[in-house]
Amino acid sequence: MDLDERELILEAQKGDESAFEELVYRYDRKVLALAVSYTSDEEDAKDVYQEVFIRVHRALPGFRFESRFSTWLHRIVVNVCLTYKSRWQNRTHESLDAMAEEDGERPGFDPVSSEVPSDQKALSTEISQHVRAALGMLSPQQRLVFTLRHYRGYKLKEIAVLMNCAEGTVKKYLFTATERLRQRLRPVFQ
Amino acid sequence: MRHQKLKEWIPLLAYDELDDDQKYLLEKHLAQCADCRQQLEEVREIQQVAGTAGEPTDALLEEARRELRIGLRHQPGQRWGWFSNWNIGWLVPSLQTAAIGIICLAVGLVVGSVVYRQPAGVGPSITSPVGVQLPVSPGNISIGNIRFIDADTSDGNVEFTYEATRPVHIKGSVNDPAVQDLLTVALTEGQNPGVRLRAVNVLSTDQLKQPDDAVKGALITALKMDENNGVRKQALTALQNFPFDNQVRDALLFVLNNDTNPAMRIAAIDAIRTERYRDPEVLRVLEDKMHTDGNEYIRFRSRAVVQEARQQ
Ligand SMILES: [Zn+2]
Repeated sequence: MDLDERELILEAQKGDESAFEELVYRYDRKVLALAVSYTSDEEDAKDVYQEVFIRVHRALPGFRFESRFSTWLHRIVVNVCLTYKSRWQNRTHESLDAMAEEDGERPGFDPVSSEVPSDQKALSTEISQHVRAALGMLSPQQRLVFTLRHYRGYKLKEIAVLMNCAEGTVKKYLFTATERLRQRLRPVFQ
Repeated sequence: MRHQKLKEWIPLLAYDELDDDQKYLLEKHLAQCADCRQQLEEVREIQQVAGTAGEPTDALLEEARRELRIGLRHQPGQRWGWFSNWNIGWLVPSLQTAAIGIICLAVGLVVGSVVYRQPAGVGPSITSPVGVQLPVSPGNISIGNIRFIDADTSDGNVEFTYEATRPVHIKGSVNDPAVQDLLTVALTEGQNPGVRLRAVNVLSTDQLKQPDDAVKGALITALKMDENNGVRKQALTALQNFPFDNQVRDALLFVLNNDTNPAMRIAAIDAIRTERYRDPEVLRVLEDKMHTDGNEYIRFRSRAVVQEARQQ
């Protein structure tokens, strides 16, 4: 950790509002990016973002520099993602077919949203809709491991540290995630 | 066996997570196993269709930051002055032992004329600031954590915040909605795990006649979110007094999927009623848990339930 960051944290712990703000602004773009990838929905992503930094704010006085700040922060992100239920999940649970019939009305299934880069926009609406629906069917752990590895480029070893579990467990999540995606998406490929 | 084991390495190969020896072994197997080759191809197809992630727009980030400022302002027990937080107001006392509110006052004092004019024969009392109505009468409140925002008296003004705690005595039936309300607030908002534990203990009494939705909601929130193992465990016990509906089922499945404490996951799986074993939602989670859970008992138990359901 650079000295500069250590000082910022110490200041924030003492209650310096601008130090806390600066600390947040150093990491928040990355946190939001992960939240968008994980939830596939901007509103949900903002909720995750908010919950993360509220918890950081609450827990920061107890931060003792025993790990890197970014690791500590990302552990909070992981915990929030795992316990988070999006609005539509809260409401009801429907089958994949029922979702496909909804014509992307549900926010999480907005076929082409603004943050998706142009190469992906070229993909047919139908396929990306199916991918999102299939991702939505994974357990939170499977989905998070897939998001961190596939979309955010973390190595499985790093993911294990963040999720506080064995690397073998993370490998299993990735395996199960790809298995499920394969099963769900097979009809789409053909 | 070989094939089964190596099959699990396929996504690891696709995501470049194998060491050289493993890669060599798997590639040798791939050369002679059409099934695995097909599987690898499908994983690569998934990688393609899943695409790459974009970065959030500046507008979205700005929105998130703005909402965070508002969110932090409404945090209970907010003790930092991050951003402007002068609208916290007085929080209603919520518990028989203590209630903490943060009061923000901008006090106009004419220094030197009003301060410490005490009634004769009485100990030091709080001087009522000119023009400011205290939200609680001083007497049995205790005041702590005074923080000065402006302690410079040269212009005749000071500004500070403090926390006021006042005991509130409540006696009533656990079936009284008002009592239940207070207890649910204590359960979900209490800062002290001991307070939350006592609240959940009272709420888990079998004297509770009417299953109340608000109580159930608070118990589910505590079960899912409380940081304290004891509170979560007691909330789970309390929920067993309620009918086993989809809400209760989902909460148990949530614990099974997300709680990092194996004892909680065990309690959750044991709380699933036999008649719900064939529920597709339950089965979906258990079929996953029988392979992925880190705890041997849960893998065993999940497998047993799944098998039982299949035989029915
Ligand atoms: Zn094979």
